[in-house]
Amino acid sequence: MKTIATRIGVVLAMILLGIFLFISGKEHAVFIENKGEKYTPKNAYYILDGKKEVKIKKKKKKREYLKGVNHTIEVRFKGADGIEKKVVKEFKTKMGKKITINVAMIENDSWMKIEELKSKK
Amino acid sequence: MENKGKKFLINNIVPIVILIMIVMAIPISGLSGGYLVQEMISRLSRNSFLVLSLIIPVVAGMGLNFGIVLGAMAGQLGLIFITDWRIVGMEGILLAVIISLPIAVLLGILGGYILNKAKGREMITSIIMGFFINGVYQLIVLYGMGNIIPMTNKKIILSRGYGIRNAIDLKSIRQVLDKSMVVKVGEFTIPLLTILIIGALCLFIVWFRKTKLGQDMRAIGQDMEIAKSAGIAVEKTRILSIVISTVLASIGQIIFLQNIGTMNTYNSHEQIGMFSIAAILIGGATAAKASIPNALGGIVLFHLMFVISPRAGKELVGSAQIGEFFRVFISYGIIALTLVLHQWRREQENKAERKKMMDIQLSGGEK
Repeated sequence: MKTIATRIGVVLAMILLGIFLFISGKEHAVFIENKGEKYTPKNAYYILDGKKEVKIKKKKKKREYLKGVNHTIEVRFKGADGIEKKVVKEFKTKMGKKITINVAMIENDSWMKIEELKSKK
Repeated sequence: MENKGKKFLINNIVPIVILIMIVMAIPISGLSGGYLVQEMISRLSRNSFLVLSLIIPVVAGMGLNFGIVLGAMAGQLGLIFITDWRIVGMEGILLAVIISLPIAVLLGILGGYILNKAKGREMITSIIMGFFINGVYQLIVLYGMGNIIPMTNKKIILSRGYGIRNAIDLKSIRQVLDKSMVVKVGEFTIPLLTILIIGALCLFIVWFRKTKLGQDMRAIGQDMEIAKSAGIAVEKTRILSIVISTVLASIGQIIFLQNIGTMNTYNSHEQIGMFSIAAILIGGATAAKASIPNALGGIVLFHLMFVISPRAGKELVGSAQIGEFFRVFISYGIIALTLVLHQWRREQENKAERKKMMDIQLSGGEK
């Protein structure tokens, strides 16, 4: 009885570990765009999860791949008043959702757009 | 003294012959010492886990487990799933291990059960079993995946909509283990984490041999009938040895492929069985005796030859292709030579035993 309980325990622990690894290791595509409603900076720079800085030109869109659920984005650009701004935001990725981050609107509430991923069929 | 030297020579004839060939080929190849050392570090970290997985069945007297191909298949299935689900990094490797474990255990149980039915012919049976399970694997991967088992990653699915492509790019886990902890010693780069994992496996093997199960396996390896009469569950223990070997092989194949970075879906597993066995045999192991130094030494010798022979072939005859042929000829030739030598040694031992018995009987008769 004790052996069976141990074996079931090991199997359950493996399943739980598997689920944890699946969630924490899952790669998500995140779209970064630089297209504001009122003002769009000529160039913006972003750093995802502390990795290297990437430049994104006006009205361009880039695709990035991120691992896991919790992320941070650091955005740097020149505002309409010519002053350099630096904004850091936290966000979460979810399975089956398409996330688009607009760096031009990073200071607004609508900086992130979450949509359902379309079926591939 | 002369006898001792002769015995040493007979016992280590294979590594000695290979070592002589390597020593002769190194200057011809023109490869630098630094390059060879770096290559050996990289290849030791890539192959050791797989080769070490062969030791336990030898201890249990089941010969060289050509069935490690089964474990390799399980490892590859794990890698196919994580690539499809886009699980990256260390998490991807660990998840691949978790997925491959139950498959490897099931295949190990099946393998062990079949090998119990074919006592005395374990090696040839495990080769044929590998071919059989390879057919099942191909059916699952070529037809089942995308048809019965849902697959979402279009990059790994064939254009017809089901079946896995011939080659899978493992860029999501490429050298994750090897590069996560690196130590630089002079000009050499040492993948410390992989070496530590291999070290842990070596410690496990040393510890395992001292456990009750390990001792039982050794007793079975020495004489199955005596072990049975001593109350050891022979068949169950033999199955366990194959299960352990298959599970280790599945992890070994994941370590091997993360280092390579590309998976040949239909061939990778087939090659490793033969090459791992060739490596351990070159290290001086036999079908009845294998140790950790045999495995590690064998990898160094085998891969030194692997690296040197094409270049030496090219320098000697002006064609790298000749070196490639030489390499294949050596790897299969070594397996054949070692098995013949092993059989010859066993016959010599039996002859000596018979002579001893006869002498005892004769001296008894005289009295």
